[in-house]
Order: sequence, then structure tokens, then C-alpha cells
Amino acid sequence: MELELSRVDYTIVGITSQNCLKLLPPSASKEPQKVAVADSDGILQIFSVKKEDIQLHFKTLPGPKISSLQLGGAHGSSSDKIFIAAENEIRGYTKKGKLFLTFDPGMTEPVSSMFVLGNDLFLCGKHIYNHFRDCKDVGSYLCGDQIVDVIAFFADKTRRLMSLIACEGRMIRALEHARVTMSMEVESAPTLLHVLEQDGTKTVLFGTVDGRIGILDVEKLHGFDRWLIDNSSNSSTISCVDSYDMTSSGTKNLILGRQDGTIEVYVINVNDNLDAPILIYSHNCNESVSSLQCGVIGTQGFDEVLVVTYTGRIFGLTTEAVDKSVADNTMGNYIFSQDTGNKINKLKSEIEDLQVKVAKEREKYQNSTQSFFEELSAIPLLSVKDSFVLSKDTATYTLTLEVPTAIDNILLQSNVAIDLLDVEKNSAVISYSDADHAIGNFLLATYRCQVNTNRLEIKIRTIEGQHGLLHAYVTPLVQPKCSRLIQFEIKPLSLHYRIHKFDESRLFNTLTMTGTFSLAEMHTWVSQSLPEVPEKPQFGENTVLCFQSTFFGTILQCSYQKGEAFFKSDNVSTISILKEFLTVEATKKKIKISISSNINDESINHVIKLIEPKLIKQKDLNNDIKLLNALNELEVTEEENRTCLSEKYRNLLANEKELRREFQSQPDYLDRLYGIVTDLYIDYNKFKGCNVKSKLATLREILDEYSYDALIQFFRPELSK
Amino acid sequence: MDKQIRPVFTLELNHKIVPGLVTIGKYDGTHPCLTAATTADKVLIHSPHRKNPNTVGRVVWSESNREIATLNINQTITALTAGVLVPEDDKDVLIVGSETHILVYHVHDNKDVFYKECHDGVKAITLGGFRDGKMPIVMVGGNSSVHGFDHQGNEVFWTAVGDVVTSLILMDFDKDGSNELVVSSEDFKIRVFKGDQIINEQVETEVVTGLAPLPENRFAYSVSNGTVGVYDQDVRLWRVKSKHFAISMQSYDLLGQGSTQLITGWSNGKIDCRSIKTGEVLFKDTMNSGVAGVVEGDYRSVGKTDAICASSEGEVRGYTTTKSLSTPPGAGLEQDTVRELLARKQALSLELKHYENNTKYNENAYNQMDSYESNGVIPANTRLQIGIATSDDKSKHNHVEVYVSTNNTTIIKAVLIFAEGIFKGETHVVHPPQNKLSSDILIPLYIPRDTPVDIHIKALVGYPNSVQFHVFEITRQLPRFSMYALLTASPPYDSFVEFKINDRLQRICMWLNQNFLFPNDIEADGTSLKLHLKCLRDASVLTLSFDASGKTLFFTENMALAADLVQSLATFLKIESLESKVSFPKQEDTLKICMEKLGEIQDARLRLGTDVADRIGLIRGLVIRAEDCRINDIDEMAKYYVELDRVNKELISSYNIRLQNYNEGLETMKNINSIIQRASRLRVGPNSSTMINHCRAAIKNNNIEGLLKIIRTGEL
Repeated sequence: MELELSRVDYTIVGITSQNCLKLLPPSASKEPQKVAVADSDGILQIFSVKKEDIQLHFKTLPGPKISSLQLGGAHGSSSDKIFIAAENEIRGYTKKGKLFLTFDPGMTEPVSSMFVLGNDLFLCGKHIYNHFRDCKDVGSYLCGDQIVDVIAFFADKTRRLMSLIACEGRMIRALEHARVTMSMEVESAPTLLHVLEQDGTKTVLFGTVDGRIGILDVEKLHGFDRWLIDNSSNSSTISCVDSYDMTSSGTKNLILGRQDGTIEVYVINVNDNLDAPILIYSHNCNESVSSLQCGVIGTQGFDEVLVVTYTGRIFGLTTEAVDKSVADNTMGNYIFSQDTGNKINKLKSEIEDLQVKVAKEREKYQNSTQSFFEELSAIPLLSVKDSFVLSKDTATYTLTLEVPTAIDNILLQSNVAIDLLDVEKNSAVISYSDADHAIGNFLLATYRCQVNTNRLEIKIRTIEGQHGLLHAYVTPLVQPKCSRLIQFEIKPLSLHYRIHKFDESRLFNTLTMTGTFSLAEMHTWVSQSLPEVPEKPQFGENTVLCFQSTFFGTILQCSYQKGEAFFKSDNVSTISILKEFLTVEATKKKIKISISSNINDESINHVIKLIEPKLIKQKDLNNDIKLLNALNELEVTEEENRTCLSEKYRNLLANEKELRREFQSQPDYLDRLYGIVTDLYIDYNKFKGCNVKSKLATLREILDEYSYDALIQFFRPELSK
Repeated sequence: MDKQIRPVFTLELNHKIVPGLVTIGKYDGTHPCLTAATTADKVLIHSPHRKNPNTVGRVVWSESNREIATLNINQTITALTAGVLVPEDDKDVLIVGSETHILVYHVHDNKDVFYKECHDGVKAITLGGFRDGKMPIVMVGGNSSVHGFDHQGNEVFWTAVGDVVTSLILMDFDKDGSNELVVSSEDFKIRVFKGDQIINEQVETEVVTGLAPLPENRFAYSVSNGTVGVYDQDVRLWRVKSKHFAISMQSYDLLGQGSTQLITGWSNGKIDCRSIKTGEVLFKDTMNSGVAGVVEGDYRSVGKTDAICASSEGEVRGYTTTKSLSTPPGAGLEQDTVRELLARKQALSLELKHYENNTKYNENAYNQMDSYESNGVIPANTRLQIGIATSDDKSKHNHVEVYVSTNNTTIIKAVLIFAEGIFKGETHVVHPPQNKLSSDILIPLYIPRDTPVDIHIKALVGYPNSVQFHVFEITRQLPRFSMYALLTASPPYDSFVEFKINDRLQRICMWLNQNFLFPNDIEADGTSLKLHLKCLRDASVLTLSFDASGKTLFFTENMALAADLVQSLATFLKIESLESKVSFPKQEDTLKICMEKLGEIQDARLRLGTDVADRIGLIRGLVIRAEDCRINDIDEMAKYYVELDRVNKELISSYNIRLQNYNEGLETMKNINSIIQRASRLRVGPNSSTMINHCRAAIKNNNIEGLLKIIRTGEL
């Protein structure tokens, strides 16, 4: 770490969403800047900091939730106009707080993301992209995927106005004049877009749900260039990015905020792909970061990263040394610096006022519970920020839950068998309760959180083929006590993710379904069985969706229209799961369908070849661990004894820590692989009409003594004849 | 909190250390040596201040690291401690406990002080002064008893504990200036012995794994479910629970506050420093692997002790009192204060917002009926009612039943019960399926032991399709003897305990009503009171009979239950001394059988021992002959080796027999000890300790009849 930053807490606002904090341009270089922040209570406020004290310049009245805040201004002038998007309305304020624009774009969806560039205004709802110039509609585009972010810029060479939208379905689309000119596929779902301007050239960066930053080459390659930051140790979703010269070195640094509360500063070089980024600062604030920007805030001349978290905390990471008061205090006892002392006193008196008010209201509420009138107890819905993301490397889901105040406990209930894995970051005490499978409780677990936990991360392992619902009841500590229920769907093919390129050269098993179902019905079924399915089917034409399994790498293609659906996959199990699920769903709706499937025997060999490396690796790992355990018994921990061992064993001992860590990070991985091969065997034979329960023990033996030929022969005995 | 305190030294031992088996001793009288048990059954002594490296004997000096010596034990090490034992010698001795033996070894002089077999096994060792004696004694905790030895290996103390001892400390518990013995055992209990007498007993929710003495007559304890806490005499000052386990605890003044803090080493490598009075975390750091032990010693020869933490991978870190950078509690770093205040402000504003919203909602209630149910809006006068009772005789499941219901049409979505020690985890969740939601729920609870339990009930109340629920919280205490239901009559029993108390029947009724779950309060009418009860666990019958004259009889076949009842009643009525007549024919039979068996086992053990000696002799001969033949007559060699193989196999099988014999002996011993222990708990005060002493004497003399008489009458 080369950069030393210290944290200074400023204030709190309401719950915030992405892109809700901006710094107004300074009147002079390195002068303190004003901060504009908007929250979900609909309050926009502008403040500056003087001697650690908040100076509020103006504050609007509460209103509908503000989803985006952007700065803009006419070409040539400084962009100090503030634009906010609240549901279906755009408002513009000057830095003095004067409302100069109220504009209803007439969109059918609430605005979720916005971008302002000169006189151009780009608004996006969930699926609609709208482009306005001087508040006049100049074009719109309807997107099948959900849009998560929009930016616009003038291309370096052509000087044409180009806008980019990031879509959830692993796609970034470039639009000119509201027409898609390019569709750029990326490896994982993007969360945001950022234009990095350095020495007059622009580089488009994007952040992903699995915590990476990529470079998009729009001008030359017309697509994905490379990963700029691909950090395997932290795969938490990127929630905000800024570029700023924090080190005063002349080149801009990249500053990231992540969902797990990490703020990182990197030294980057976007022009040279051999120049790896260097992490120079990292801080974890334990609350998901929703927005950050760099500038000068607290003290003149000191650069600072201003961060706002989901729960509305605003704090700065400043280059100024905060602990300066320690140095001139020889007694070792800590004395508050004057400014902070004032701030603390002010806060304390604020809290006292609040306490009085709360006590009064609390009493009123208590009284109402005693009354005989038909009063109601209505607590507004607690806002819970949740995410349920499939992590590709480990084939597990990461569930995160965050609330604005400390969590008391979380109850997880599921009607399908799932495993909860231990997460090192999570300090909550987990307790499993006996679950009665007969009444649909396959999992009942409570997490009792330690003090001041706002956020909980849980890793969940699902089994393909089983589907159901996961309920999370989140109870925060705040009075009157309430518990919010959040539901997550565990889909039958939960370990698949969407891809855009389908490898047609593989050997496929197919499933054809015809019947009296509509396109919408089929689309619903598909979206119930697979993750990342867009909300709406592609009307008119044949809808084609492709998926890949995280575990195996096998692929699935679904193509369907009204009355007809066609699925093909190189994995028999996938086809079998789909068949079962679709039959059940169709029967539920009393829709007549006819299903035919075609199994390609050769695909078995192909799938086994796909698993083979994983299987062999895990078997080796298991063996190594067994050997290590035995070696430890031998008391060869001392240097002098090691020399008499063979090289293999010495290597094992040398790599012991690594091997054990790998083994521990994926407990029961081998069993999971065995289970999948067993499922494959059962499914394959099911299509042939055989019941093979009795042969499973033999299969297990073959797997223990793994050889490719023996396994193939077991799957397909007809080959040897 | 950032790392305010950095280690003053770190070093690598390059040996894997067994968690919990770390100590420190001044074997030459001045220089401390970190001593630990390694996973390879060796004792490792790290002596960085060694002057003369030519010590020979049991200790083997490592070639690669001149500071490390190892001592081969070749048996699983179960306990390790060091301290001054031999009178007129200021050098520490090392005490090593293995499964069957205890070795007291003088490291500096390289001699065994004594080596002694402990039939009861060795599970924990401590060293210190006890009772009025000036001499330090070695206290050894075994499978069911505690033995005390002096420096010559003579047994000077014995008491029965009833279950496997997990930890022992000697400390001044009652502020009388002399040490008491604090023992934790696998039956979740912490007992305090003053001399032979138990003066205090605490029940935890899980196996107590460790104890550590603290200044000012306090002690810290750790529990296998991840709890750590501090007792000030019989008052628990605080406890905290985490998902990891505390391995080692040490009191040390890390922050220079003038008084010490509690340093705890955790299984995940975390080290934290807590205030002894409040449990507040003042400092924490993390080691790269699980902590194996935390000790205190002057390891840098600066005249001041350091806190030394050793990890299971052999990493050692030393921390010292760091005053200048530390912050006294309360002040804190200013930014932390700001952060904390902001968090409080946030919580308060949110609460205020909730109330405001509630008021607003009520004002417009009639316009907003559409989202009524899904948002979890419930009538303000909704209340949660709760009833606890023992289940009815007719029903088959035998549980304590908790009945929860609301007073209107709202339903209970789920119920969470937090309680310690009665569930597998710490919670029991009832989550009825969607189609069976109703406004009342009956929750059967099984209470495994007779201890009072606090249950915290959280009920989620709303409507079937709500996405938000109101949480109603209720805390109740289940009385100690919850699992007993009233019967109308019961067959007479010949197993009973009889004693006399001088208190009114009304007081006894109070005790009954406080400690049992009866549908109605019991009231004393007339001169006697007789209650018939059924235990819901095993359907056994218990009859309590009280008489106005003070004569009290408890009829039950369960001796432990009778003992619990006697102890509970005595505590309630503040009885300090109680003698009782006891008759438990079944237990007496068991005791008789056990005593006889123990005799047989001991005989067999001797026989087996000679057998082994014989065979070893044979083997020696055979090996020499076989190797002889290698040179002289190669054909004959095979014959001898076949013979050797046969003898070897015999030896192995006889070893297995011996092992079985040993285990049986241990089991029998435990049975005997636990019966004695229960019998002692049927008495209160000095009577119970005299009884134990008599029992010990009777067992030594193998006087079975005497033993039975002591149990019946408390006297010889």
C-alpha cells in the first residue's frame, strides 16, 4: 500500500441508490467543493464542509424516491446544474437551489438511470431508452434486456454523439440516433459504465456483478478489449467507479466501490495491456458503497474520496492526516481536536432531541396498542437491499442482505434442499433448527448477528433438478420490531448462466415440445427454470436463448414460439430436468402437450470428457490430503527428517497449506461430482426406460477406481458387444 | 479499529502445536521457556536464553534450531503445566499428563521428580497451594475424579466429580486468602471445592472447556459452543458468544490500564483483549492459524512480562503493555465516536420515521385498504398470548408445550425460540406451511436436563400473504423441573431419600410452585402434602411427600434427580447442613457389581502385565536367533521369523485385551465415582464432604459393605 488515507465521517442521509452523489465543480482549483446528494426519501441536499462541520446550502422537501443525480451544463460552461430523476419526473436545480426545470418525459416506466451531456438528456427505464435534446424527444429504443446504466460521449475520431447502455443479459449496446449500431457481448453481467478521460483520449470502462472492471474498445475493436481489474480475491459486485489523480502523479487512478463495502484505489495504465494495475489502497466500511466521487471537500488542498453507502452514511477518505493530534500529545491520552469536539457535541445534542421525540412517539404507539378503537399498526416496508448472484467459479450462490440499521436476526427457510456454506467475513452465529421435510421445510436456519452488523453475506449451494423458494426473514433491531420477508427462487437449472455464442459443433440431445401453449406461457416456464431470462420474449420471431452450466461447461439452447418449443443440450441431465419440469408445469395448467426427445449416445462420452479433468483433479487432491494426513502421522515435521523422503512427499509437505486451503474451500466437491455423474447415469437410462437403482453401487466403485474407458463402458454397455 | 498494538517479537517454532497445550516455565529458575505439546506427541521447549547447550538426558536438542529442545513422550499428551513444586528449589518443574500417567520432570536437573500411574486418566492438571497447606500440590483431573499429589507423588486429596474433568484452576474464590479448587467438567458444570466441600456450582449450556483465574477473585470460562464469560464469585459479569471457540485465556494488562484485561485466543486465530468487567473488546489481532495458547512471561529479558500467543502452526507472537497508543475505554478514537453517534442518530431517525408513517397511515386508513394485508398492517390492539404447560397424559409425545396465539384474525407466520442448551443449535424455529397458517401454534419442547431455561420467543405476526411481519417478543423462564407432570396416584417405591427440615409447609409450596410447571399453584392444606409426578422423559414416577413435622421423603429410582431436588430445596430454604437417610437398592447393586468388577479388572491387569513381560523376553530371543541364522544358517531364519510373527500377533491381541480391560476399568471407576458423587449431593454442607472422605477410605480398603453403609447413612 502506498497511499495512506484516513476516514472522516460527515453526516447521514436517507437510503441512497447508485449515482446519487456528485461534487459540484470548484470555483478555483483545489478549493473545497460542494456536495450534492439525493436519497430515496426524495430529498436533494447540497452541503459543503467547513472545519468538519456541515454547512447546508439547500435541501428540498421529501418526495418520490430519487434514482439518479447527474450534473450538466451548456457546452462550454462548467457543469454545475444539478439534474435529478425521481420516478417519472426530471428536475433541474442550480447550485443555489433554484428550480429551473421540471420535465415530464412521458415515459411509461419510472426512470432508473440518466445521463446528461450538454443539451442532451438520456433517460432509461427498465427496458426503454429515451433520448431528448432540449427536452424534445429525438428517439427511443425498446430493449429486451433490463437496462442498468447509460452513458453518452462524443467519439474521439468521428466526433459523433454515441450512447452506451449496459444490459443485464451480458450485453453492452451502443446507440446512435437511438439505433443500435453495435452489440458488444461481455463475459459477465455489467453493472455500470464509466468514461475515463486521460490526455484527451476516452476509454470506456465497465464494472461487473462478479467484481471485475473491463475495458470496452468502442472505436477500433467494436467490442470487449480486456479485463483491467480481474481480482480473484474479491468478487463482490462493483457498484461505483471514479477516476481521479489521488497520488498527484499526473495520471488518473481508478477508485472502486464495491457492494461488500470495499473501497479500492488502483494505479492503472489503460494504454498498455502489459502494465498490470497496482492496488495502492483498500478500506472496508462494512456497508455497501452506493456512490463515490473524488475531489476536495474537507480541507483546502487535500484530495479526498467522498463515499456514500447504501444506508446513507457519507464519509471521506482524505489524504490529510487526521490523527495529527496524537503527535503533540506526550501524555498518550487522547484529546479531541477542537473541530471534532464541536461536531461530537452537536451530534450529541441532536441525538438528545431525537431521543425525546422518539420517546414521545413510542409512548403514543404503545397507547394505541392498548386502545379499543380500530386503529392500525402500520410500519412502512423496511427497505432491504438484497442480491442473489451465482458465482461462476465455485458454482454457488452468494446471498447478501443489507438494511439501514443493525440486524438482529435473519431466518432462512427453504422448501428445497440447499446447503449453507460458511463465509469468513460473516461473524453471525448460525443455528440450524430441526426441519420437518413433510411440511416443506428443508432448511430452517437462523443467523443471530453481532452488534452493528448491517449486512450479511451467505453462500448457498443448490442442487440442479430441485426447485423451490428460499425465504429470508430479516429482522432489524429497530423498534417497533418488524421482520421483512424476501423471497428468492431456486430454479431447477440454477447453475446455468446465459451466453450469447452457441457452440454448434457439439453433439446434442434434443427435446421437442408441441402443444396449445402460448409464447408467453412458454416464456414463463423457461424463465421459471433458468436464471437470467429476460423479462419479455422477443415478439414475432422465434425466441432463442443460450445457457452454459457453471459446473460442467455443458450448453443448452432453448428456442420457442407459440405452440412449439425446441431444446438442445449436450447434457442428458439438463434435458431430463427440463422435460420433467415442463411436463409438471403444463399439467398444472391443464395444457395438452406432446413431448419427444432424442438422445445422442455419443454425447455421454463428450460430457464425461468434460467432467474428467475436474474429477481427476479432485481425486488427486483427495489423495494428496490423505497422504498428507499420513505424512503428518510420521512425525516428519522437522527439517532434518524431510531429507529421507521421496521428492513427491517433500513437495506435498511444501505445498501443504495451499492444498489444504483448496480442499477446504470446496468441501464435498468430489461428492458433488459423483452425484452429478450418478444423476447423468440415472437420467440417461430413464430416457431408455430402464430403472438402474440397483446398479448405483457399481457405479460408485467405478468412480472410485476412475478410468475413462470403464466408465464409458458402464454407461454404454452396448459398445463392447 | 486498526491495529494499534503491534507484536514486540514474532518467531516460528516450525512445529505443529496441539491447541490448549501451551505453558511457560522457568526451568533454570530465571529464564522463561515456552513449552508446548506438538502433534507428534512430543513436548517442545523453546529456550532462547539458554547459556550452556550441553544438557543431556531425556531432552533432545534440535539440530536445525539451537533454541528448541524436544522431549519424547510417545503417548498422547493430554495436559501440560509448569511451576514450582519441589520445596526449597526455585526452579520450575514440568508436569506432563498422558492418557494414563503423569510425569513430573525437572528439566534443569534432568530427573524425574515422580512418574505415577493414574487409573482415572489425566485430563487436566494444575499446580498451586490448596487449603491451608503451604506446600504446592499438583491437581490432576481425570475421567470422574480429581486427585491431588504432593512433590513426592503421595496422594493428599481426592474427590469425585461425576463426569470427565475438562479444566482445573486453583484460585481464591471466596476472598478468604486461601485457594479454592475450581473444576469444570463435561456435564456442563463448574464446581468450586473448598477443601472437600462443594461451595458453589454453576451450570452452563454446553461443555465448559476452559477456566482461567483473573485478579480480584474472578475467573473466566469458555464453553464449547463458542461462549466466553467471566464470573465474580457466583455472579456472572458478562458472556459473549461467537461462532468460533476460545482455546486459551490469560489475564494481562495489554493496554496499560493498571489492571489486567482478559486476552482470549480463538480457534480461528483471532486474539482479542476484553475488559474483565464488561467484556467490551478493546483490541484485536489475528494470527495466521488457530491459536494454541496464550501465556505470560518475560521473554525478552527486560524485567517485564509479555503476553505470548502461540498458534497451532507454530507461530509465536509477543505483545507487551502498550500505553501510549492505546485509548482508554469511553474516549475512543474521535472518528469512531463520530461514527457511532451517526449510527445512533440513524437508528433513532428511522424509528421516528416509522412512528410518523404509522400516524399518517392511520389518518388516511380508509383510503389505503388495498395494500392492507401485504404490507403487514395489523390492528394496533393485536396481542400475543402465551401459555406454557406440561403436555397432557393422553398425548403420546412427552414435552413441555408452549402455546402461542394472537387475539384476532392475524396469523403467526413463524416462531423463533432462542434458548441455550435445550436445542441442537441455539434456536428452534416453527414455520408452518402456507396452507396451514393459523392464529395459534402449539410448540412442543423437549428439555433434556433439569435446569432452569430462559426462552426468548419471537413470533412473526401478520397475514398469510404479507411481505412484512410484526415481531412480538416474549421472554419466559422455564422452571428447573419442567418435565414433570402431575399424576393422581403412584405405586410405592423402595428407592427414596429421607431427611428432616425445619420449615413450614407454605414455604415448601412456594418452592414447588417456583420449580415445577403445575396447572394450578399447590397450596398446603393440613399437615402433610403428597405429590405424584411423572417424568416426561422416561415415564418414571416421582413422589414427593412432606409432613408438617419436617419429615420429607422423595421417592424415585433416579438418584441424580433426588440429588437435584435435595440441592434445589436446600438452596431455596437456605439450609447449610443436611443429613439424610438414603435407600437406592438398584444403585447399591450396581455399586456392588462395579466394585467386584473393579477388583477383577485389577487382578487381570497384573496378570496381563506379566504376560507381556514374558512375551517380550521371547521376542528378544527370537530376534537374536533369527539374525544369527542370517549369517550361519539362512534356511533356519525363515522359521524364526514365522515364530516372531506369531508372537508379535499374540502381543498385539493381548494389547487389545489390555486396552479393553483398561477402558472397562475406567468405565467402572466412573460409575462408582458418579454414584458416590450423587450420594454426596443428597446431603448438604459438611455432611456431604465427610461422606466423600469416608467413601474414599472405604474404596481404598475395598470395603464394599462399608461403602454401601456410608451411602445409606452418610456415616461409617
